[in-house]
Amino acid sequence: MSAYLLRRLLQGVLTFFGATFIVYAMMFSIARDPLQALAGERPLLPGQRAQLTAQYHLDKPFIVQYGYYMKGLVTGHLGNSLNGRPIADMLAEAWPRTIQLALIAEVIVILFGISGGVYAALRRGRVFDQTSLALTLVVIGTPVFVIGSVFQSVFGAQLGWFRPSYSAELGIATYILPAIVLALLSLATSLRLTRNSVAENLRADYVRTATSKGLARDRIVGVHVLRNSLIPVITFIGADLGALMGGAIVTESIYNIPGVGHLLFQGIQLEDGPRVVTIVSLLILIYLVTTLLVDLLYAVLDPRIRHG
Amino acid sequence: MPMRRINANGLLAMAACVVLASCGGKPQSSAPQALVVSFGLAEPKHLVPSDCVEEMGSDVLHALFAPLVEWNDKFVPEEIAAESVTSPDNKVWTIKLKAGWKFHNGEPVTADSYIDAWNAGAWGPNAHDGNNLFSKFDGYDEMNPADAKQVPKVRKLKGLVKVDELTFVVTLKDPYINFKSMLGYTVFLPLPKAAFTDVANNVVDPQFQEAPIGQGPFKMVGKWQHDQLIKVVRNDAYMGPEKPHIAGIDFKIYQTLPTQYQDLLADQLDIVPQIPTESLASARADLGDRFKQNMGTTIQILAFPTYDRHYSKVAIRKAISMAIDRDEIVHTIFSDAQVSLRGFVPPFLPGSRPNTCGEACEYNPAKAKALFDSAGGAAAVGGRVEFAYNVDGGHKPWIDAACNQIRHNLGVECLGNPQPKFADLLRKAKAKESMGLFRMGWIADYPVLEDYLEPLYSTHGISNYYGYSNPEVDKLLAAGDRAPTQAAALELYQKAEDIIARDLPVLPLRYMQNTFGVSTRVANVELDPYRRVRWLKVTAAH
Repeated sequence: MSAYLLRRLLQGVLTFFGATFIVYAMMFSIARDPLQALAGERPLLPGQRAQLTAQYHLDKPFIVQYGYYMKGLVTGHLGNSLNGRPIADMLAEAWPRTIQLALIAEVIVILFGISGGVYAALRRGRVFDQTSLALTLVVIGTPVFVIGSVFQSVFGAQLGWFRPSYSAELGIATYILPAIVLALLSLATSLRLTRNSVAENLRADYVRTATSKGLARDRIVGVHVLRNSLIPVITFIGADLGALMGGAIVTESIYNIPGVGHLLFQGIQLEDGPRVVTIVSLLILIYLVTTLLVDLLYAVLDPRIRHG
Repeated sequence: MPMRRINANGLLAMAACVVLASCGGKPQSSAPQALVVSFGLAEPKHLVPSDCVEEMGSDVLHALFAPLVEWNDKFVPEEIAAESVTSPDNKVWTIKLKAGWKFHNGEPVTADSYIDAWNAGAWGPNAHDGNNLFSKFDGYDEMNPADAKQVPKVRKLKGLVKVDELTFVVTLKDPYINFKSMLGYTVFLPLPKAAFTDVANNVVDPQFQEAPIGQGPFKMVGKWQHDQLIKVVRNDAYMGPEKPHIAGIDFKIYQTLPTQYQDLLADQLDIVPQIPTESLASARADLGDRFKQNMGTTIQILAFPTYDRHYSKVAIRKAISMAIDRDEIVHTIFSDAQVSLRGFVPPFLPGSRPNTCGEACEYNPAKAKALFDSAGGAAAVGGRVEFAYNVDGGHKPWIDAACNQIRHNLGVECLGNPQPKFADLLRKAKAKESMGLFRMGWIADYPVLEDYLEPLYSTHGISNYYGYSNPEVDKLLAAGDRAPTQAAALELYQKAEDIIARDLPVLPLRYMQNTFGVSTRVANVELDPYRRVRWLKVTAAH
C-alpha cells in the first residue's frame, strides 16, 4: 500500500511539473503583446512600454522567463500580475469562493444524483424514471451559459427568489443559484450513471441469492447493491470536483462571482502567463489529489481491489 | 424586496453616522438623505490619479476627489478646488487654490499636494498611464529620456514652481490655449503626503490605491475589495460649492454588463451606466422612464492604413464611405443608442460644425458605385474590401452590416477580418501588415476640439496608428494651441478639420450616447458626456 502511494506521489510530481511547463509554453506562444492587451484600446506610450517590459522580463527568451517563474514558484514568491497586484493575494481571495461554490455544487450532485438514480432504478420504466431520463437529456444537451442566463433571468430578476448575482455582504446564500447551475450537468450524468449501475446490479446473481436467503429488500439495496453500484459513480464525482472548479468560468462570470474561474479568464484575456500558469497548476494539483483519493476509495468499496 | 433594501441601507447609513458622529450635526443647504446608491462598475485598473486614464477608475476617483476645474454643460471649465487659473500668455499659468480644504485624513491641501502628485505622474520610471498628459510641461523631456532604460537624472518638473502654500505656477513648453480645460482631467488630481513613501524620489506607496485619500465629496470606507466592492460615504467636511445629498455610494464591481442589467431588473442595483447592446431593444419596455439617454463623447471610426496601396486613392475611400448607410446601422444594430457621425468631432463640442465630412459621409449608393468604378473598381482594392475588428468588443454585427452594404452597393466582395484583441489590430498596423480597414474608438481626455484632432491626425499623434501625415494639418493644430484667444484657436482647429475631411484618412461612423438605467430608489441621475455620474445631483426618489 505505501509503495503504491509513493509511486503515485512520484508520478504526481512529474505530472505537475510537466503540465506546468506545457501550460507555460502555451501561454508564452499565445502572448503577443500583453502590455497592449492590458491597456486595451488606449495607446501605450513607448517609455511606459519599455519600463513595463523590463519590469516583467517580457523581452527575455522563453526559457529565461520560465526560469524566473519557476524560481518564484519554488521559493513561494509568485510575483505580481501584469496589473500590479500580487498573484498570491489574488488567489488567496478567489480560492475560498470557488471552493465553496464547487463544494455546494458537489453536495447537490451527491444528494440528488445518487438518490434520484437509485429511485429511478428501483422503479424502472415508471413515471419518475421516464421524466428524469427526458430531463437529464435536456440538461446534458443545453450549454451551461444558456441554463445560467435563463435561471438568472427567471429565478433572479423575474421571480425574485434569488439575488441575480453574487453579493459580498450576503455571502454564501448568493452561491446557491449558481451552485445549482454548476451542479446540473454533473447531476444529470451522475443520476444516469447511478440508475444504470443499480439497475444492472439488481439483476445480479448475488441479489437473487440474498433475496432467496430472505434478506430484507432495504438491506439488499442499501448495503449490497449500492456499495457495488457506487464505484463508477464515485470515479465520476471525484474526477468532476476538479472540473467543477476549473469549469466554473462561465457560471462565475454570469453570476459575478470573483473566483478562480474569473481570474483565469481575465488572465487569459490579458495574456498574463504567470497568473494563468499558477491557477492551472493548482487545478492540476486538485485533480491529482482527488484521483488519488478516488483510487484509494475503490479498495474500501470493493475488497477485491487491492493496491499492491 | 425594494422596501427591505431601503431599510438595510438606512441602517448602514445610521451606523456610519454613529461612527462618524457628524451626521445631521451641521446645518446644510439641503437635508442629507440616508440613501446609499449602488453603481455598476467594472474592476478599475488603478486608483492613483496620475495612473488612471480609464473610465472605471475615474468614476471612483471623481467621487473621492474634487478636480481643480470641472466642465459645465457647455464644456467650459469652472473652478471647483481652484480659486483661479490664469495666464497672461497661455504659457505661464498661475493656479491659486481655495483656502481651508483638507484631505480625508485631515491633512491640508496645499500647492505641494499638486506639485508632488504631478511630479510623480511625469516621472518616467513610474510608468503611470497618464504620463503623457504632462508632456506639455516644461522639463518633461528631462524626466522621460528617449532611452527608457536610463534612469532620468532630473526628478522634478522644471515648469512646476511653488509660490506660496496655496499658489503654484506651471510653465509649459509652448503656449496652450486648452490648458485650463485639461486640468479637469482625472490625471491632475492632487495627492496627500500620506500617498508617498518617498516624495523626493516620486515613489507612490503601492498600498495607497487600496484606500485612496482624496479631498472630494465622498471618502473611502475600508479598502478596495478587489473584484467586489468599493464603498464610499459622504464627506461632511467637504469644502466644495455643492454638497452631496446621498449618504454614500457602493461601487459594485461586475465582470459583465448583462449581469448588471439583471440586477437592475431585480431592483438590486441603482445605476447601470451602460445598458448592454443586446438588451437595448427591450430596455425601454423593461424600465419605462427609468431608461435614460443623453449625449456621450466616444466616437467610432474606420481607419485606412496608409501603407496599404489599395486605399491610397481618395475616390476609393470616399466611395466606401458613401456606400455605408450609417443611419440604418445605428437604428437596427444599436437601437438608436448611437448616432451617425458626419464629422471628425462629436457635433456638440464648442467649435464643432455639423457635417464637416460633407458629401463623403452621406449615403448615396448610386454615386458611390459610379465613383468606385471610375477609380478602378474591385481591381483597385485587390478584389475585396476587408474590415478588421477585435472580436472581444461586440463589433461583429455592425461590421457585418457595413460589409453587406458595401457588397450590395459597390458590387465588390467585402469581408470582416476578425482579430482576437484590439492589441492584434495595433500590432498588424505597426508591422504594416495588410488587414484592410480597421475599426477604432476614441474618447478625448477633455472636451475640446483639439483633443479629437491632435492625437488622431497629427503626424506623431499617439493614436495615429494608420500613418496619416499632412504637414498642413500639423501646422494648423500647433498654431491653434498657440492662439491667443479661444475664438482664434477654434478657427485654426476648424481649418485643420476641413483638410482632414478632404483627405479622408478615416471614415467617421458614429458617436455613442450614454444609455443608462436607474432603479426605483434614485432620482436626478445625470451622466456627464464622459459617462460619469454627477454624484452631487443624485437624490432619493420620493
